[in-house]
Amino acid sequence: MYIILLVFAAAVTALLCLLMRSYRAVAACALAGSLAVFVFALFTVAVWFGLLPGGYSALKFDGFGAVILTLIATVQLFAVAAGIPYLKAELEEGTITLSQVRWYGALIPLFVISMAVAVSANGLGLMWIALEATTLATTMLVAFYTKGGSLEAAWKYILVCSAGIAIGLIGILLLYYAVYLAGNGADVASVTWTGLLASAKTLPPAVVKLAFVFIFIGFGTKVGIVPMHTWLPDAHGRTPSPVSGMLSGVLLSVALLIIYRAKLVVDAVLGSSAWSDNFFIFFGALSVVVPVCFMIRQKNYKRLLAYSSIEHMGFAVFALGFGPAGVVFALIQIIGHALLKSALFFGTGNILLAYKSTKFEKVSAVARNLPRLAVLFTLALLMLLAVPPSPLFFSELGIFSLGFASHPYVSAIVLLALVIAAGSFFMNFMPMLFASHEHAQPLHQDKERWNAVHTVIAAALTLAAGFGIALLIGPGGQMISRIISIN
Amino acid sequence: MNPQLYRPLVDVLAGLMLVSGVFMLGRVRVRSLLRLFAAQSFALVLIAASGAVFEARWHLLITAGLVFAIKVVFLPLFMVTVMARGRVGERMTSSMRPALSMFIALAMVILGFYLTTSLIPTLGDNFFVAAVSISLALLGLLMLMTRKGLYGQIVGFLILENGIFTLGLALTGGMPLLVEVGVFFDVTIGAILMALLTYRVHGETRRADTENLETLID
Repeated sequence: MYIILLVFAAAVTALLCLLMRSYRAVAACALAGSLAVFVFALFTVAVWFGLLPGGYSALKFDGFGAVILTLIATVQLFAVAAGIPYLKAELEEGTITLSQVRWYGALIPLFVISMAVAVSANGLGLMWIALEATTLATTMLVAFYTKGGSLEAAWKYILVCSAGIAIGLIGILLLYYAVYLAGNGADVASVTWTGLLASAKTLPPAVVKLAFVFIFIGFGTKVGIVPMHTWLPDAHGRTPSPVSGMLSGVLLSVALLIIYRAKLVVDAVLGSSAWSDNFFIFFGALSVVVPVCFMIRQKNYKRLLAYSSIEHMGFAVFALGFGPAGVVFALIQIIGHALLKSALFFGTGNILLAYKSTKFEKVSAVARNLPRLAVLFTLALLMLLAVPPSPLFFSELGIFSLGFASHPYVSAIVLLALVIAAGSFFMNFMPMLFASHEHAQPLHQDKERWNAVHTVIAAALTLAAGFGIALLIGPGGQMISRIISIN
Repeated sequence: MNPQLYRPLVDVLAGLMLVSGVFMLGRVRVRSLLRLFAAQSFALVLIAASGAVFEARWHLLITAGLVFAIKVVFLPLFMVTVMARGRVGERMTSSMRPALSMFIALAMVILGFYLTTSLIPTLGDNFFVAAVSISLALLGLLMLMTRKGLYGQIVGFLILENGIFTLGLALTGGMPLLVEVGVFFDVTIGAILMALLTYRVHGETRRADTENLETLID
């Protein structure tokens, strides 16, 4: 019920943003719409957990999905708020036009709608349509700046992701076929996640396994699992910073959630998770190790953050290979990553506005020129590197304690890669924040003022630290395992 | 109508789709490539329509109508218009010579049939159509990877889509109508966005290939 209100509110916002005549009006409209989306998402989640009456049979009820929907709602609110001063500055500089701002305001709600539907749709067909719509809604945001590589990034993005999702569709067709073979032919019209789980025992294992492989490869493209990740650094590096935050923070997890649901189905059909676990461990480890090689000598700070997103998602994929406990840690990892990585991307927006470059060599002395941002950015950076009370500390600790017990060699390699990743963060970001070079100063020396970006980063840090402390004290961990167990 | 005609008819149409797919790999001019694509999509229309007529699954008629309107008529015309307005040459570049691409295409077809036999053993009557659709998906991927011309890549994506659509018809007799309409909507918007991006690439680089789109590397 509330999800319909959510979709409706976002659609109205998109339409109104296109009609507004001034920047203030577009901004007010976008912010109001995104607040409404946030509230309706929380109501939807409350219904899922049985806190509010109501319900809707076309929805998928599971705890993992509810958490992702909450994250979508939170991060989109942050992104819209952080986007208001960012786009205003670019509009005043003449980098973009008001018409571009209108389109930006319209595309963000469409993007949010498609993510919300992909997460909550029970029917596989509808889920696929929504997942492809996320690509379509964001392509023009990747191509937002008409200059320098944006077109190339957008082209790679739409082509690679659309092809990947099309391959995922083969997997879904095979699941339809499995239901068809199972004999209850009338059910073909409505293949749903809950239906597949309920009738798992009757489905032919060979077809379902094949379907899982296609879904893993196809939707893995959207998660950025190596080797299907090539589009990701380009797209995340080229979009306006608030959108980068949403792409990295939540869109990747949406696709991962779908793969996780497919895993539940194939595990139920096979009666054990041993077969699918190997996929997750192998590709997860690969997705941690490979991006790290590109992080060490990275010249562009947004691309470095994008590679780090591949690495974090890879780590979550790795975690999903370790049974129910692994799922809990994967979810903690996803929550921490969504809040912290999006905060860092919002911060890069302010740096880009001041220094006019996304290259490390053109940016220095951020701590002197943008002191407020530098403090928040450093804190977010440290928490992203799993310094307690970051939730990532607990997820990484937990996964390694599971991993070293069953797969010691792979875990050792992954741990080494994480250490190198942390090293490359320090090596690249610390000079940018705290050293000073003459040729890398901001273009204008205005005094930094506190704006929505700072507020949003501070809020994300507070949420992440609060969650981390809850995990430390105890109730957080139990809460997450209870959430996971709702199916 | 004679129900015994259904199976041979669908198999012949699927065969035509496959042949046109192989020939598309060898085409270097946008217009002739788009003509072949329209012909392939028309065979798909006939497959869906004969499913509707012979097996009384009438919702397939709507599917067939959509495929006709969008893939046979709208998308080819739209792309030709964009190309004409962008004023770029018709000739597309590829990283392989046409003859070589066609040989690899034939190898892909063999691979497609082999994969279908070994992976989905329970197909029965639908074997040929399913094998054709898997082969078409592989051909589309091949075209996507080897073409440098932007139109070639778009058509590669659409061939992949045609293959998957055919697979849907072979495996399940068509998905629920709403889902099919939605999938169609997505594919159409995707192709339009790709064509619009291509138009902007024309404006920036005066070319229609990826030669100037190779700056983002690590």
